[in-house]
Amino acid sequence: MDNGLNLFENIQFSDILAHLNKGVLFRSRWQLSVSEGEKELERILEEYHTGQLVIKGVCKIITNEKKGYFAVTVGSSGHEKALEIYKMDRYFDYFLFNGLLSELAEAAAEWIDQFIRLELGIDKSSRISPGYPLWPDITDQEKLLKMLTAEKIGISLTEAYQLVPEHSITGMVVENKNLEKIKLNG
Amino acid sequence: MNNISKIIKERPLLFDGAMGTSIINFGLTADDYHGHINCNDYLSISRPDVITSIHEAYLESGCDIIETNSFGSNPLSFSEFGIADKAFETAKAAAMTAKKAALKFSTDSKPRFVSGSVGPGTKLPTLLQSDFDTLYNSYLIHFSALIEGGVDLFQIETCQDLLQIKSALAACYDAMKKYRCDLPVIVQVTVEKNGKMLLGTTLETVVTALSGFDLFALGLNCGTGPEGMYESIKTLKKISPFPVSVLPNAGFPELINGKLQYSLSAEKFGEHIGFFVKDLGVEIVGGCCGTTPEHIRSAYGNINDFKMMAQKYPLAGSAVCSTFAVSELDVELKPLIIGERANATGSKEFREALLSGDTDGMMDIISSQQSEGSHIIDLSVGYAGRNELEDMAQLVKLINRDVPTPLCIDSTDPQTIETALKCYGGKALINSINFEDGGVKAEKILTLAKKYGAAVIGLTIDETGLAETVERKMEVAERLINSVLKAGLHRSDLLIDTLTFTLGSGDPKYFNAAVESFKAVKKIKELYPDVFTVLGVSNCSYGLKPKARKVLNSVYLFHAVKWGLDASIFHAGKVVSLDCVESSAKKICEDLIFNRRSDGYDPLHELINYFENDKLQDEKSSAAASLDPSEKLFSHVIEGKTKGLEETVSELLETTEPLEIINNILLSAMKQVGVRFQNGTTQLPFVLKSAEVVKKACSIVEPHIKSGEVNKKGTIVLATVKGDIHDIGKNLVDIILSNNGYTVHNIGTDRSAAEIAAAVDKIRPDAVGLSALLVKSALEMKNVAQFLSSNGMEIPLICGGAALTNDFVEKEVSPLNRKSAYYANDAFEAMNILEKLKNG
Repeated sequence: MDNGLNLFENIQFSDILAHLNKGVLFRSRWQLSVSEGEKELERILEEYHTGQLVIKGVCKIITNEKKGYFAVTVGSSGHEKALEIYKMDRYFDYFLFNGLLSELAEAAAEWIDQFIRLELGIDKSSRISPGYPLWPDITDQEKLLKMLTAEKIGISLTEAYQLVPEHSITGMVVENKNLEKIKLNG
Repeated sequence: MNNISKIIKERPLLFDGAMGTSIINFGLTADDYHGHINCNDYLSISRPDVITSIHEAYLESGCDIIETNSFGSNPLSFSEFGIADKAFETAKAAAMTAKKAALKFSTDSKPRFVSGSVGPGTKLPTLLQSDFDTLYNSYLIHFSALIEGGVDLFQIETCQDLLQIKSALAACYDAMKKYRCDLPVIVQVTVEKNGKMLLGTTLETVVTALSGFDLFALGLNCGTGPEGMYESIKTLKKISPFPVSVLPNAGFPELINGKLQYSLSAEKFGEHIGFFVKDLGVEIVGGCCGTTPEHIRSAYGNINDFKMMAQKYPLAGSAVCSTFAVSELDVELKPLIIGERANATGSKEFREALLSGDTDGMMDIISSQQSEGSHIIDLSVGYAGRNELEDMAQLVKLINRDVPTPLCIDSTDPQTIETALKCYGGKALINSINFEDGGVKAEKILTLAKKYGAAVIGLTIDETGLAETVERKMEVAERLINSVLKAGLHRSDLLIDTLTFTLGSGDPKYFNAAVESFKAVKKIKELYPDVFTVLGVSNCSYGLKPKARKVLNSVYLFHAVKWGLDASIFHAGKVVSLDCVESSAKKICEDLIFNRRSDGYDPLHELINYFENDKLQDEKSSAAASLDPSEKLFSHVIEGKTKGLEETVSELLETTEPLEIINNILLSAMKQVGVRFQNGTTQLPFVLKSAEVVKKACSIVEPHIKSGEVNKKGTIVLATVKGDIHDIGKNLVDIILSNNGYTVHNIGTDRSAAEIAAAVDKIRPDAVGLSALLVKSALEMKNVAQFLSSNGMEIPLICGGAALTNDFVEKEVSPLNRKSAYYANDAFEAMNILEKLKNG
């Protein structure tokens, strides 16, 4: 689709799970061993009906520039559920669930990254987000969200340019040989 | 002999600084990388002039050694850029470029050297992201290319995984053998803020795992700035048999005047380096990420005229280790226990799990031995009809990743042993070698022990069979010791098993089997005190009925330890403490063990009869259930277990005042959990489990408190500042503080200064806790401080969040607040600050 938007109102949860980085989830976020992590993941997915989360995404592919811009979000229902768990005083589960939401967002970003790469026919690419060294101006978030009409999937910004809901990721996918510092115009 | 080895005895050696962060300054484009953007190593081929000028800048600032630009120059890492086939030429080019630069600056009085840099890659074998052989093959190319390019030494650096280090070392030594050179090898690990490596490996574990290798130095690089390394350096200096190398980052990347920079100035960096060398005795220094020629120049100025004092290096200790922890072989309360339940032929439970492919079941058996007190876990998977190599590899990989108790590889087949060693990053124990075949297999296995870093159990068996007398046992023992030394291992890497043939055979030849074993143990300890002795407890009772075996094993072990036994191979279910053995049974066993017989008195018959008649009561069941309720509640908290909590609390309420329960048991248990978290014994998720127990218990107890009685340690208002919606950090602090006796008013996220001030006014807390994730929202904390001050509020601030640093809070927030602001890295630090504030 040239210069058009691809809107994903409900990305299949199993597709997202396929991109879940268990190594980071278990060892880094959860600080558990891998076998402990597998057990807890199975339990958390089931007990809190995590598969019912509605994960959304939108991307804009600019074919002639071999670039794709995207935004994904796990949605505010995930965060609301996390707070419910917290209020039930299930601290361990709250901690795990929150970490899982962050990694699900990452997995969704991976998923849409793959989508963009397939559409553009590129295989060596990088994914960059505003606020990181190659895209230093975090205020570009505003321009990016506008370009993507991200309000359609419920994403907005705080005045400190933080994404709301918090388990959202935005960025750009570009072929490695076109990688350079990014600044959005207009 | 290499010059470097001489120089290090006289003065410290100075490495260069960062390559990667220097390259950024050149503003290179994709063309400069020939399209392989992000592959800095490739610049050695495409823009060697850039690399040369970086080398020369460092050489000008006075360093002795420059590192090659070859951190990822191996096929595995290069395959991520699609240029695996270019790795060799790139590594070689990197070495040649560096060598040329070094020679340009080298003089007789100040020779300059080139260190071949070898990084860890991106795949951690312990997490099963890659395997030993794949890494080895890739590293072999890496090291070969560097040798061909002319490096003077090697740096295996920024390591995060012991198993990766071993694969690199194996390739390194094999490459040097191929090219017939013998270059110094440095290994450097990266240590996180908690003082451990990424996977949880402590420095003690690193030293144990690597002490058998001939390293030039063992040290640290990357991860933190110099301030974060003091404790680690002191630890290494205390226990490492090698010189120490330290290459810190130039602090942390921080927000300074709106720009992201590495925070530590060249001047401060140099001061720290000076301190490392002159006060801590570090022999090799340099810089990692963020350091520049100025940093190195400053370091040079601080260590330039320093003459090294003669250093004493501790001897390599006697221990084995897993990925996570060390088991010293010389335990205070003998014997060291080698748990033997994970044995396919010896344990029905384990065998059934193995045959049915029940990996979880096998892992449960393996891990449960730790709580039974095993210091080392023996694994034997050989079983008729099965592929021992496959079974061994599969299990050892999981054990390496998940089990903190060190492993004992139970096999006599060198191939199986090598397979296991390639899956294990720690220092394993090998069970066992002997001289049955004249020593052919023994030599192979000892070579493996040297190559992969392992200790060995040796049996007193030779070509003529099992050694039965003390003299023969000592003969074989001495032969074992010589073989071990010949293979390049230490005496303390050997445990000798003086084998007792079963006392249950009734064969007069073996009446003294136990006595001879004990005497041999004593003699070995006398003549070779640094060699260890081990006995397999169950061997002595083979053939007898289970109840008899249990008692005989227990008495046998008791006496063996008295004769000097260091270690024993043990099944926790087959041995009991002697208090549980009836004295008449004990006497019969002792008579059997020490061959005290006479006409008409055969202790073996007596023993058999004793248990035939079943007049023995079962040994007293263990005292597990008799903890009193307050101890039970305490352990509910420590272990984070809610099962049975309600009953325990209800029971306790009958005898104890509710406030006492809360303060003396719940809060003090939670405090201990906090201590264990801060010293790394337990992780955050388990702390939260404990907090859940406290919360639940408190909710049962609190209704019983008479009104007006509750005393809390203090009150705090918590908020995430305006513009920031992250609450997990703040909520974790809430959980920890609330369950440690504080009243927490958590007013939520995205709170303006005015809202925070209103809460302070209403609640009158002892402090305000501010949380922020992003840099931009961290700046908002300054507004909060300003607002509180200008409204006349005097309240200390405690600030936390990913983007914050101590410096930021101390220098930019604190001056704006009337009662200062303090940086807290986590909830427990926040608690410490609150306590200090209270005590004034």
